[in-house]
Amino acid sequence: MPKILVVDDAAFMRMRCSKLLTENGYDVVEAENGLDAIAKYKESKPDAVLLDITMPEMDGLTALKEIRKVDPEAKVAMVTAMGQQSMIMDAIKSGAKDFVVKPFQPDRVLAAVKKLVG
Amino acid sequence: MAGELQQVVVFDLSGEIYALDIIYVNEIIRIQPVTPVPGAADYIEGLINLRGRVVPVVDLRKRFGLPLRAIGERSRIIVVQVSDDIVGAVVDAVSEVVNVAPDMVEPAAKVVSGVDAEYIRTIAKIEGHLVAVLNPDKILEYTPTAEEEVVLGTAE
Amino acid sequence: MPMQFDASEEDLKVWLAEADEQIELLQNDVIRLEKDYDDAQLVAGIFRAAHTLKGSSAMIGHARMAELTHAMESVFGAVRDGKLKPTSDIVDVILQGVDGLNAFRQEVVTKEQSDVDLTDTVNALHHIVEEVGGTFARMPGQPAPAAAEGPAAAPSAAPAVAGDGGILARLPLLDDEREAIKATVEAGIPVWLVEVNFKPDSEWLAVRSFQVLTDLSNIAELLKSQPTAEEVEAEKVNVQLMAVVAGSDADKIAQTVNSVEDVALSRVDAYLAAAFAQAPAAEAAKDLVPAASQAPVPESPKQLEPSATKTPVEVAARPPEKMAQNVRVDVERLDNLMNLVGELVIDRNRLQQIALQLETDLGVHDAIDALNEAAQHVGRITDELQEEVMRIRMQPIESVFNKFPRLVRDLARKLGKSVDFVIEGKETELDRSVIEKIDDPIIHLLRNAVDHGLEMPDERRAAGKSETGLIKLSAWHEENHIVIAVQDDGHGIDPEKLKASAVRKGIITQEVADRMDDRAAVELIFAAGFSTAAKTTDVSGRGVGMDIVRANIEKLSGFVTIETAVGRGTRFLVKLPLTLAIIRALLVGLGGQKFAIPMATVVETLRFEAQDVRTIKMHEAIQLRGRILPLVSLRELLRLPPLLYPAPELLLPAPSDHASGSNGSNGDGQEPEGDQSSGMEDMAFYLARPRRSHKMFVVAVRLGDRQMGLQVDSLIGETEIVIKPLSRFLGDVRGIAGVTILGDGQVAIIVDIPSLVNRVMQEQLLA
Repeated sequence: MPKILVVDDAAFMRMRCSKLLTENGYDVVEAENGLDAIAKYKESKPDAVLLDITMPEMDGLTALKEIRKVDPEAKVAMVTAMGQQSMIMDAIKSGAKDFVVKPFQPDRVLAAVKKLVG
Repeated sequence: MAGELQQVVVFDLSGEIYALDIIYVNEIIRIQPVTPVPGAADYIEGLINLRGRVVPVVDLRKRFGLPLRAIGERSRIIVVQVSDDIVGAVVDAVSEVVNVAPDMVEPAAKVVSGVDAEYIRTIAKIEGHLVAVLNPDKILEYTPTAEEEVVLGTAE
Repeated sequence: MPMQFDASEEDLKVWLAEADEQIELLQNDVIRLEKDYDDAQLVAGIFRAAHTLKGSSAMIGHARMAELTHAMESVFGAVRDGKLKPTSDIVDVILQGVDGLNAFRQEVVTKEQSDVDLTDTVNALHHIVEEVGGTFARMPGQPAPAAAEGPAAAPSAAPAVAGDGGILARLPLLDDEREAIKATVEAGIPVWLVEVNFKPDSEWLAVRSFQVLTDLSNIAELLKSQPTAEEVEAEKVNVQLMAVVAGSDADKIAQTVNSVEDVALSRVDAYLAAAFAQAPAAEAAKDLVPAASQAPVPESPKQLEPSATKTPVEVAARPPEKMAQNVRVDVERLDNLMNLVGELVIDRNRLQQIALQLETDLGVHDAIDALNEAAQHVGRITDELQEEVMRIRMQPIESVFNKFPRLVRDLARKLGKSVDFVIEGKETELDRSVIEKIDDPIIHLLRNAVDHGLEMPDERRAAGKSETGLIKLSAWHEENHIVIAVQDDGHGIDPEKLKASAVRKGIITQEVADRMDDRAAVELIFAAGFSTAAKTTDVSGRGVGMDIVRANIEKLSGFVTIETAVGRGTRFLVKLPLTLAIIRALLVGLGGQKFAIPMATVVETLRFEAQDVRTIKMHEAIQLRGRILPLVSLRELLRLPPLLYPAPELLLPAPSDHASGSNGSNGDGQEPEGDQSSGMEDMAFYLARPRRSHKMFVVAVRLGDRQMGLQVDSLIGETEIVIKPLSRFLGDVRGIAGVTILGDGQVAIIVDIPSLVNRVMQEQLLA
């Protein structure tokens, strides 16, 4: 069962996302900011990461770079609410594989995760 | 206009003295052969080649309805420019360029000489004489001939 | 009210350029909807244009424009989905919308809100869509009409080896790029052409493009892409992305590309060796038939996004991009360049004349030889330069023709007529100077054809014709001219009716009418104040008659002729020079003054003896190869006033023998020598005709489809002249097409012969 790390500072979002993934047969690990995400990544070695960009403590872009340092093969999709295409391009440059736009569309999230894992 | 010293070119048309603000005068050239334009208004003498630019030449005496004199030694063409339009004006002689103080200038009276008041911008007192300073816009204004008015009329 | 837009001035320029393209597409294609609504490619293109405009107008904060384009898009979506048949009424509303777009676009230029209110149009558009039930939702399992376009291949199957005319046609390569690719292929590394079409409503085009490029770089070497990586990062992207990559294999590339979200359709072609001989983009773009290896991305069946309803094929149907290797040049600069070349032409002529003069005056001399040589060299280079500049200035007539379908359609609808409007030869090129000026005459001829040429549908039916009339507008090159034809299959022009009408209007007398042959009668349509319709409609009325049309065409050194057959239709042929900047002209002398006659109107030059002139029906004429050539004197035509000033001396004696008799029809051996007064002086040369010679110089000129002989004092020769406009100060002098400066520095008048002769003929008709 593939393991997914869901990183978001908004609890409501984490909850929705975790529920969706669990229902579709994934194991879910949650983290609530960038620093937490790095720790959880090292700890649980997930198959993929859904990583929010705008977060306190450490933002998603920095977390992405750190995670990729820990694991250059890390499969990360960014989660964003903003129309900042350039920021996502930066993320892709830093190794993000995909991105998902908030508010979530369940199919879209599942498709992205499936692609990351597959 | 008040308060500024005005420089004018003073010239002779059929024995009368007229002037033109020097800022509208590009140059003064000798009479040269013109290419007549068939069908143009009678005061249009024709066209000259002024360093690659085709410039129409107007006879101000005809335009103003003044008696004609033969082209003589002292006849000149004053090249007048208003914005992008250039026209040469034939005059009987160019006498001088003079400074006119603001208090020597008055608005044009109704009739000064034989020239219609609309062609005159101001009257300047120069060396004791009253001189009509011409309105360059009017000189360069194109007036349709009677025949053209008919054509334009049908085109409406 | 001032408006503010959410973009920098620079960005707005880009916005405008793009908007113009889309609006132009809408303008050109929307009227085709009435007939070709089942043309999936057409509809897809229109839909996309509206969609793009919607997005970009929202982007800069032009809410009214976004609202309008949204409404239009909905209508196009309904048409695309086969739910809506665009009737003429519906197209009328859409066209109102297109007009509105132009107004809104203008607001972006002026930053001033216009008082254009399109609320009604927007409501009407919404209403149209509501009538057919909803907006975009397509019934599940029901393919959009577009899906019938071509067999959709399996996703990853059939990757490579399609025609290389496809992707490459839209992705022009620079020489060095082609070389690099060639080297790669020669090194045994496969090169692939990749085309990716995103869902047009993807809101993340830049990122998606970036993903595609990044992913491609991860598996292969990216040789070129359009847009480039830099453009993508600057978010200058399109729904289409094209790339050339080296290495990997087609399946893997297709898979990689298709795994990116929002990719609707991709295509991977092998770069064929044959493609090294890459055809010019425009040529190749003509036979753009993809389909061979189109690989639609399998859509997730559960997808809920509205984008899921877009069909992949629609994206594939995107029209070829206009992407020739071009440099944009300011039109003003081009005009300036042409003027400079014009000056050079004058100086070249002058140089050659000086050399000739020196030779005449001083005889043979080494320095003169050298000067001659230099003059000739300068001449040759000037010729080439001129030709090159001319070529740069040439534009297809398309930009003018494209306006006309709308015009014809609107007019036909207003008049209750049914018209098939066909355009041919819109790729025909001609100089900017002419393009700018031919609108009006063609508009007039088209209006005339719809209004007066075509019958009402019931009339046509009664005459055993199809109710739908045909109007054909075509253009083609003929030697150094362009011919534009406006043809209708209407009732033709009845010469008898025309004569009767002309008599009624007092244009000719009954006596003249009785003598008039059919051809001359048909030409009456060009007489001043003539109109063939009994009543003036608000369409082609407005007082501007065919006489003005003819005058305007002749002012461009062109001429117009009519071919007509009663019951079968009429064709107007307009023949114009390709350029108005520099033309060939025949120089003739009258007294000491030289006049230039555009060669477009000159048929030949002739030399006669005065005694050869016959008087036929009160008019002078000469016999030329068995037919009668009516004569008229140029002096009379010009009503030359006596010269007040010393006339400019001719630098050279008129080389009359050299210039005359270009076809050997001098009537040699017919004229006895001797000074016989023929009494001609009074009539033909009322001024300054040299008495000692009774040679007569005649220029045969073309007037419509007739010819006329123009008597001149001397024939000087043919030369190239640069047309300069007559100063505004002189007004619109009849019979003068412009002025020019000759090689000797003299100013010469360019005469507009047809207009001069028409005036005389009209006077004669009235007399």
